[in-house]
Amino acid sequence: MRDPDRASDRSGPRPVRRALLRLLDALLSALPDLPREAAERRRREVEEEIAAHIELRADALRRGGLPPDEAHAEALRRMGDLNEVRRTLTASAAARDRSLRISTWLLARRVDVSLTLRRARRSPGYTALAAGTLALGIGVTTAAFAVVDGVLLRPLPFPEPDRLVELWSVTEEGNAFPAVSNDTWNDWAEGNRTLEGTALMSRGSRTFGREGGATTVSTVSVSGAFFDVLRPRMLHGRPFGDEEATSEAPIAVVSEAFWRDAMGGPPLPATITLQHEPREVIGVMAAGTEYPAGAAVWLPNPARRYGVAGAHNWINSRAVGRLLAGVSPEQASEDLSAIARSIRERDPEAIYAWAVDVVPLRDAIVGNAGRQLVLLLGASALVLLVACVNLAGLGVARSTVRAREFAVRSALGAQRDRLAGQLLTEHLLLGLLGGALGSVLAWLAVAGATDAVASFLPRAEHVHVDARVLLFCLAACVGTGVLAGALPAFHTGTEMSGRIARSGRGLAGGGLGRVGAGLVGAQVAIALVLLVGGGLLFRSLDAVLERDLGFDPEGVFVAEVGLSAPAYRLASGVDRRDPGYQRRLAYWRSLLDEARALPEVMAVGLTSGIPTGVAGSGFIEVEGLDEPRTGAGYRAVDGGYFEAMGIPVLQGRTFDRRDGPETERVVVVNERMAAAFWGDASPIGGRVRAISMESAADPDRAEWLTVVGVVGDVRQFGYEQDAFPEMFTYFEQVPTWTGFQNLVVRADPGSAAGLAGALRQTVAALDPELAVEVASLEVRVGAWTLERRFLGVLLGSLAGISLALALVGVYGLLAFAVGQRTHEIGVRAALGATRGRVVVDVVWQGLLVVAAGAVVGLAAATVATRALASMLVDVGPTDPVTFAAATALVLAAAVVAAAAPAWRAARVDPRVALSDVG
Amino acid sequence: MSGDDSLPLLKGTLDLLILKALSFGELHGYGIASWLEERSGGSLGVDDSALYQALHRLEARRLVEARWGRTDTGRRARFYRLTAEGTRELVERADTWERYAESVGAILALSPRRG
Repeated sequence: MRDPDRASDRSGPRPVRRALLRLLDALLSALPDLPREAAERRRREVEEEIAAHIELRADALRRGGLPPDEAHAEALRRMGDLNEVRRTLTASAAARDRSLRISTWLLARRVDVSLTLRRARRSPGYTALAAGTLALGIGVTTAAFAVVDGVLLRPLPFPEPDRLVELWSVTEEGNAFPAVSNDTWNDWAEGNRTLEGTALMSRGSRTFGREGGATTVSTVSVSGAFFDVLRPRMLHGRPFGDEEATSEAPIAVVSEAFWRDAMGGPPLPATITLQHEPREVIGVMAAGTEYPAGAAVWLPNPARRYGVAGAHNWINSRAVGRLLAGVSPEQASEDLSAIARSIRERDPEAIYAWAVDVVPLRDAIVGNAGRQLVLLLGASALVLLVACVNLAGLGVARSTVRAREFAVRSALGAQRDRLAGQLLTEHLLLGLLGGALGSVLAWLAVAGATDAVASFLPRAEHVHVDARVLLFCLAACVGTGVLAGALPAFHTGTEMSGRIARSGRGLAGGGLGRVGAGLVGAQVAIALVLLVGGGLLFRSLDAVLERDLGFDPEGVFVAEVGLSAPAYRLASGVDRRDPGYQRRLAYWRSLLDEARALPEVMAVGLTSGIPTGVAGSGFIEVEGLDEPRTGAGYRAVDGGYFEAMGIPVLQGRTFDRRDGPETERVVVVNERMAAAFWGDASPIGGRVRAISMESAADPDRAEWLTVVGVVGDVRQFGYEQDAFPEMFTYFEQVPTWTGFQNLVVRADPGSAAGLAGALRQTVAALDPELAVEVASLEVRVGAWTLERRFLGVLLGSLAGISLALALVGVYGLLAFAVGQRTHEIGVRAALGATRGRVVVDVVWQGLLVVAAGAVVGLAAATVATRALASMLVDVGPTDPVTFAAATALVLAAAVVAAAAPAWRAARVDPRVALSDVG
Repeated sequence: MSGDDSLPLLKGTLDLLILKALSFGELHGYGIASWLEERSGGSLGVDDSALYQALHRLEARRLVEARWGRTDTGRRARFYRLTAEGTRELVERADTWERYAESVGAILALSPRRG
């Protein structure tokens, strides 16, 4: 038991302090004593008991005639060895406490729990509403935490992951590219003093031959130190090292998924056919350790220097490294940047060697997703807070209704803190019930969404509802229960003293009205913040979708075909009589003919790079323009490409029968390129060379191309990226660009359904050794906005949930107020107030609360939406339209929520004023 | 320690005496001590420290329970009272004790048979 003297402290604590103490008391009564506090209390009590005894005995001896000092001495003597008594009594008190206090605490809780269960059975509606509210709040928060935990919090699955970094090249303008050239990387690897090791990685794809047709697999060629740097866990076999990488041994390490699904899980070493040649799989990396993400096969990469002029700019690879112990990324960055500077001293044309960014591997993998996830978790926590406040409001209302029950229990001897403890227990139980439902919701949400988000959420495969997440969920439940229960408990505490004597009606004082209104206002404020956030994201999505892509993806399918088989190999890159080259041209011509002959097909074309896919770009030289380091996008296409994509021809012509492998080299440029290099003049007839894309090793031997046409601009990388200067060469004229093409097929959108399958069959029939990947361009373009849509829908749903909860709050508050004021309303009706007047009054009362909450919410939103700024397009974070619309929605919804209580108020019979005198 | 002229308390009987004392109502520790001294006419020596140890032992066994209250003179003291379990214990053990005392008394009352 707590010291009862504390409550009647004569110094007269101020109301706030007293209120806080009461709240603390209520909280503590629901918890067992803390060990230290308990020990101190026991010591004090033993001391006091002994002192009382000695004093009482001394008093008695004195009354018997002994002088006071002798009486005291005798009393002391009869007690014996004081220290011994203290020690044994304290020890036995401790032992007693252990058994007694815990069991009484448990007993009290058991009573609370059984009372709660009985109440829950008696009011299933309230219990369902409260538990459902919490389940939603806890569910979304737990799901959001699961994502944050899996993506952000969990360490990467490699030993000492904090020492792993990616090495990025930085240009003069300070732009960092997650890429590096072979030559520059070799300089880093040899010259650094801060890395334990570093490896070069080069992404690609290979044809994987197996029975039933070839497929394309995603590969990465890694240099010798890769497995030493990363140290991934091997499920089977072994990784490869320096020697095997340098000699380009015909071996491979594969992912667990590839080994299991594509290979059928054979014992190692196992032989596979990759790019039409046998290769020995010597190791399988454990699931979850796939790096770079999406790779299925790791191949040896000698990572040799090219050692020719300009090679420092061929940034086609990525670099990963492991820092020496104790070295920070900043130190490594300084070290490597010094090497970059020395590269530039030797080769002033090395534009990517101004500095080196050393990026912790996790940041490189997670990228921008981190911010958005934290935002999402914040929004979910707000929903949970609304749920919590909602429950607290319901609890306060009920505690007022239950004041009579509590008054009776109090009169029968229940202590105030026991009643408060009862309320807390009720809310804790509700919290646990809500949490149990919520964790199921979270599990469903995570299970359902993981596949949907995998395309844009890094590490999505690590997101699970596991023990860690459930522990978080439990903490959220307890926190929610305490938070939601504290206010009703405190409210009961403060109201009880005044209420005990009184009974009957009139229990709803001004206090409840204010507390309840405050809670509802808070819910409205939070819901409005989320609504504004969701609204801004949707407005941005709208603005993005309004943008012109420059092509029409509707009804377009893309088949990626690589001529990987040996028959198509080139003996040299320039000889146009090369038999491999002839076979390539023959293949593409027949593929175009076959595709054109498919039913419903309106146009077909070929391109080496397609919007949504990989874009090549390189250095160019424009005749008559003295600008040595100019670049442009580069594609090798056929004449049908522009029509198939719906790209308009603005000037001149594209490619046709006039053009062939042996005719004059021609080129088509886009609008931006025309404007950039020819200004207002027509580019037709102008000449340009694609140095790095056609003759990187020897720029002087690059051929001059004559411009024959201008086409419209196209967004290559998405709605949010501008178009850039691009040139289109005729693919038949560039032997090196004929090995891989995207077949673009436009069909009538209504009848395109079977086209993907037909395309696959066409490719397989033409050459069964080749792999083909068919995709709908519409779907691929849709993926550009997938993340944006997903975020908008998510934040929108969270806003919707919180708004619904807030409306339940408004409804509850008004329904309760009307119920409590039936008598007053009856009196007013008797005095002649019309029903309309009563309705307006009730709705007005609700609107006032909601409007006050809305004002607070709008103020909060102006601050909170800054977190969204980086995700907004063509909309400011304080966009007045969004703010106004969200506010109007909240107010309109509040009127709807107020309608039912208002209707009930209007139907109050004036006779209650007579029959029900208060 | 007990007074010089008092009888040493038989082991185990103190608990029973305390329960008996409390069967008349709530008492604090000194109240129990003086009750025992008065009822025994001063012939039972109650060691104060032993008394408190016994009280705490009984409390731990939930035969008695304690609360803080005030004496007639307004002094704060720890008051003990019997629990339901304590009452049951008292009834059982008093019965046993009486039968034991009776048989011991009967044995002691026996006089050697003459003749």
